[in-house]
Amino acid sequence: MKSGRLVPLVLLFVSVAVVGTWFREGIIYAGAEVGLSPYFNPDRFLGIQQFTWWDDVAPGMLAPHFISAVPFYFLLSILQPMFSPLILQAAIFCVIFFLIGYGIYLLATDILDESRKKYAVFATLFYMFNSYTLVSVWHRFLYSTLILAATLPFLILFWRKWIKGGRFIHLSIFLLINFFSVYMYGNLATVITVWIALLLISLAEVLFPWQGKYYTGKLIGKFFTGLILWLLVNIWWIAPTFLIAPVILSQQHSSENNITTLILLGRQTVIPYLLQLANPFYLFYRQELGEVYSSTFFRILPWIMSALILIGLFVSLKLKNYAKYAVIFIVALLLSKGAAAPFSYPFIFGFEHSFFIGIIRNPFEKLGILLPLFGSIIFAIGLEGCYRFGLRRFGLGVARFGVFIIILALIIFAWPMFSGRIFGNKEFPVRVKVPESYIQANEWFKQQKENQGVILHLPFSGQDVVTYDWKEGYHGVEQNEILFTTLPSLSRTVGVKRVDDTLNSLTYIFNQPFLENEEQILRVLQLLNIRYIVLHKDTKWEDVATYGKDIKLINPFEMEISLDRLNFLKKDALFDKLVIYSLKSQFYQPKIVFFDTAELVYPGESDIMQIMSFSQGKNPTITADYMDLTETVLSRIGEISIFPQNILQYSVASESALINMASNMLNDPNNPASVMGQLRTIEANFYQSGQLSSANLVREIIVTGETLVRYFNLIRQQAESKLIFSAIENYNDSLNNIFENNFKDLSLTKLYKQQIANFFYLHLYILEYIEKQRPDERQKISDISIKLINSLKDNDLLPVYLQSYLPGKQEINRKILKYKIPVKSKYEIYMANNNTPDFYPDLLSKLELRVNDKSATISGEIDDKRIFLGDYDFDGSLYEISYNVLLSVNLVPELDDFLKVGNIKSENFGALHLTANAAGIAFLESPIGNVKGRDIYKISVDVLFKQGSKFYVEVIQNTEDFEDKKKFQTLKQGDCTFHSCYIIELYPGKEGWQNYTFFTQALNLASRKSSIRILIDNGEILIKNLLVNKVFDEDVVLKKRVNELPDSLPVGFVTADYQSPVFYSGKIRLDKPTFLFFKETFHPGWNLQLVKDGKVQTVDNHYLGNLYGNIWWVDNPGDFDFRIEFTPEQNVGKGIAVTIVTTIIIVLINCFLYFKRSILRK
Amino acid sequence: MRYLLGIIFFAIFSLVFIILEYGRFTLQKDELIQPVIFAAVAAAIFINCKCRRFVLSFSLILIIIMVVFYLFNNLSVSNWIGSLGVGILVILIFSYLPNLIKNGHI
Repeated sequence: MKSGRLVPLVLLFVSVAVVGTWFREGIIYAGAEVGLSPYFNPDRFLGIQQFTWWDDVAPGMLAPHFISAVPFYFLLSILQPMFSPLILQAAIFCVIFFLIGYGIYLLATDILDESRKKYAVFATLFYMFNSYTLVSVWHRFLYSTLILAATLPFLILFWRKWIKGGRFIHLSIFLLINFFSVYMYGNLATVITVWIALLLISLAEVLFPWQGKYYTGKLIGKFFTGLILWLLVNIWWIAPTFLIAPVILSQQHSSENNITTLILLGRQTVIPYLLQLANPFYLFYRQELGEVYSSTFFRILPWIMSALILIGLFVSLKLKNYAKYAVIFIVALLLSKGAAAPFSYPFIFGFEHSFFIGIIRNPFEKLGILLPLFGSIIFAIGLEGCYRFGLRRFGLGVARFGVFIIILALIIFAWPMFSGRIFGNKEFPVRVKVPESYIQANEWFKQQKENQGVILHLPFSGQDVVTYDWKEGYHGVEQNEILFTTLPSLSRTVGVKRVDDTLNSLTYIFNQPFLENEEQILRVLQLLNIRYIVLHKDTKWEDVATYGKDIKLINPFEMEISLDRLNFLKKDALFDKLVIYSLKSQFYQPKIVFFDTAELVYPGESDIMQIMSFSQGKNPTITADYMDLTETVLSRIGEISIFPQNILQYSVASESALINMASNMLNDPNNPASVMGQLRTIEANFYQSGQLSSANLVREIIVTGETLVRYFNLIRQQAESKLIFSAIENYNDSLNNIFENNFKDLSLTKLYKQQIANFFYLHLYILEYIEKQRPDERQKISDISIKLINSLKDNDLLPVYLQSYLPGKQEINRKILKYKIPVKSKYEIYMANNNTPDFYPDLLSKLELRVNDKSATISGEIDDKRIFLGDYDFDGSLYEISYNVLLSVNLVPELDDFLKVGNIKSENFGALHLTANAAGIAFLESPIGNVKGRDIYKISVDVLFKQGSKFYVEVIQNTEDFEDKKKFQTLKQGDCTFHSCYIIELYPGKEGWQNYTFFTQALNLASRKSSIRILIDNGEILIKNLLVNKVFDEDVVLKKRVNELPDSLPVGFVTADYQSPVFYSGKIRLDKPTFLFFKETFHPGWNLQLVKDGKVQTVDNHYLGNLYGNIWWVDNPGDFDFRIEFTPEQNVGKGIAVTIVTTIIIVLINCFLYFKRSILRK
Repeated sequence: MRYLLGIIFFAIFSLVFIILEYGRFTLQKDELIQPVIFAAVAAAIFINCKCRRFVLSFSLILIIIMVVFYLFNNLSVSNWIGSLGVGILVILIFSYLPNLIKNGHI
């Protein structure tokens, strides 16, 4: 049999055999980032993903880039009735496995000349079984990468034929392959990968060797013809994706995030791993394919292939037809390594200056497929070189044995492919068997007559990932919208910050103390159009690996008890670990509702629970620019609530402390304990974590400090005026450098706002001192100080009204809340009352409330929920309200009363002596009194290090494994796993007793119990004077009653037809002007049109409603036909039209060319 | 003259490789080593093409040393030596670009 037929037959056999081993246990693979897609109910996926707006992921989500999956889902949905998900997945994997091999075989056959064609088989083996394909293609388990790996050789094959031969049929086949593999473009980085490969091939064709201007011109023409036709044929998914997706991506990823990811990954994919084509994260760090890959034998194996590639590289460079592939391989290597050395900076520069290329922030994963692709050609040539060398030197037998050993090494390294352990890891094996209870529950929903509303799935994590304790387990993206097919499912966030924050209320409202307010819970359910609740008792709610340290779900078994008590819920059905509740009919509100009264809310930086505690009426809320509201809308606004736009903690050390710090900074700036030393530590931490932009900014801030110190020293040394002048100019320039940059959006200013502010406050203090010493430079110094103050104010690092708070004898700690006042008026000032006054003696008198630079009189009326502070006339637009940050009384007992575990002795002077070593740790623990969610503590303790230099302070919450005593026994050295764990280290160069004082992070909002634990894992410390004080930290809210209006009444009637996720129509009858609330996620693309007597009226007054949805103000009553449409979807229709026209033209051109050729032949 | 040209090329290449590696000129002393070696190699190749064989051997030796350090679990040293070796190899291959463009091979 000819190799042209034999090879595909063998490949088909190998594909069936290998993929067969993966499915021998009859279980499908699912989870991780792909979830249950695309085999579990592809028809449902198709129904959702054919639109750019997904209404089944309630309350609605914009997902334009998934539309490219439609052809694939369409194919699967046709096959769905005939085959089980298992058969479908196995068949698709088999096809991909085969195509990966066959594509590269055809490409290698096409590239290699006649004498080398037999080596195409070895290129095929290399491409199929190399380290990249093993880990980054198969194990990574992303369908876009799988399809890319299978398709790219075919794309390059026909693209080469097109640019070399210029036959239009080859370009047409190239476009056809693109259409069949369009699913891969769901990952936008694939577009870049494909076109980089095509560009490299085209460039190499014209450059190596240079073919002359005419050939180059022709090739450029072919390249752009191909590119334009590709764009036109793919415009149906490109248009919606690139017109809408950038907005979403910029919300989800910042430039700093992209650079940080790039740098961190660059540190992983360093040259020793890159040359093996190995992804070290999965292969070595997490050992997901087994510990065996860390053994010496397996660490040697990939170097055999790398050596052959290196040999192939040099052999190719000497061969006229292959040198280009060696150069392409080198370029691919430089692209795939990202920010790894050598030549790291071009990538970082690109990321700093273009947000778009952030989509390849993981270059090895996104572009790395180019390495095995072009590497396979180089590998074949290298193997041929070795074989010929062996043949010449040692004879046929040895040469063949050598080739056998090399191929054996390749196969052994890819062993998980043959053993069926290619996917997942021990913890999360990505094998899924959806429990029967889910099928039954879905069937139950299908039988319900009430087929409106949304199914809320609890516990709600506020994320999009979940872990279930199903028989085979499930860990991956939450996809209840696929498991429950009759109604939209609300079980995850939707990727829009404002909306996600509102949805996060679902994490907390079913827990104390919010659970006590049944009306509030009902209101939230009604506003989100909830009709049913499914409680998933199979959720692994305590799994830190899934949800992270910062959130802890509520135990679903406890939640069931809470839900049972709610009067407006009915327990309808129970399917194993799924409990179904429904909202009693009288409480359910439909998707479109009307209100004649609303509240105007400006949420600012406050979290949803703070906002909810201040707006508990029955009216909806709208958020809009006040100036955009018409008179009639304003006449229906009952109340305005303004939450702080920006919150700043402002601390000024006492004058004596400032003198001390300034002295340290000026006399010993290199001391790690000085302010500059602390900044250097912050800089090092940012470098360590890959946050380069923030690290560079800290460096520049340190440089300003160093320049200031140099300036001060020159004055002290009475240096020449020229030098002194030059120093102050340098200082001025370095300040300009800092504030000209994008200061506000960096992690530095979010995480270390206070430290940066304090550092510059120290500058101001030193400048003021110098100003007094150097009267002749007073003006210059004063100008710099003013400029610095203004820059700090502009960047929210200092309050605007600073002059009232110059340093004094006492330290000043104030909370500054900034407000944008929508309309000049008198507002009432409130704070939430969380039993606050009980723990802060003389709270109201000590608050010293100020509005801007004026003291505000506090009336101090306190009720159950609020503290009324007084009225104030706000006659401007920007205001600052500030109050003293107060500390509660000490909330922990004496040290002797703490729980003590390990080697702990009491000393005479009230101290405790803790000793820990390899034999065991030691810790003290005590509950903290009066805990509520979001508490922040100031912890202060005196410590004497006898041995060692480190210990831990942990703040444990009941939302963590609070009661888990086993944890104490399993604590080991370096264990610091709880939400708030603080490492206390000995100040360098310090001896004797030291005081350590710090503020903790805020507790989880749902926490009700908390403990402090002092833990040492190695060494000896003495501690005394431990104080834990709660920080008074309530937001201040401004309220204004605009109109005395009763709660909203029913004002209209609607009959709505659900046409599609992007189009609703029906009839409405309005008795009077009204707010129409449409319970889908807000997007400016939603458009409301009213039709009466053939006249179409577009309603312009479109606002954010209830902090997530759409509200329109309809000001003319009557009977109307209405249409609500998501207008960006029209891009899809236009795109499809262009695609169809282009495809018809391509077909016609091919027909014309075919007949022309036939005629010429005759 | 050749000596002078060498110094000028070395200075220019040093700046180029510092930019390519770090994008800034405020560097620690140890950060200078790789760009300076790259610059020396590039300048040497530019001045005297005959040294390319030696440069090739040098880069291959570095890559072999990289593998040895890697196998002995010293990743940081392995990475430093490997990136130096690969960097030199890239410079070497790019130095052949005129030949590649002219003849299609070296």
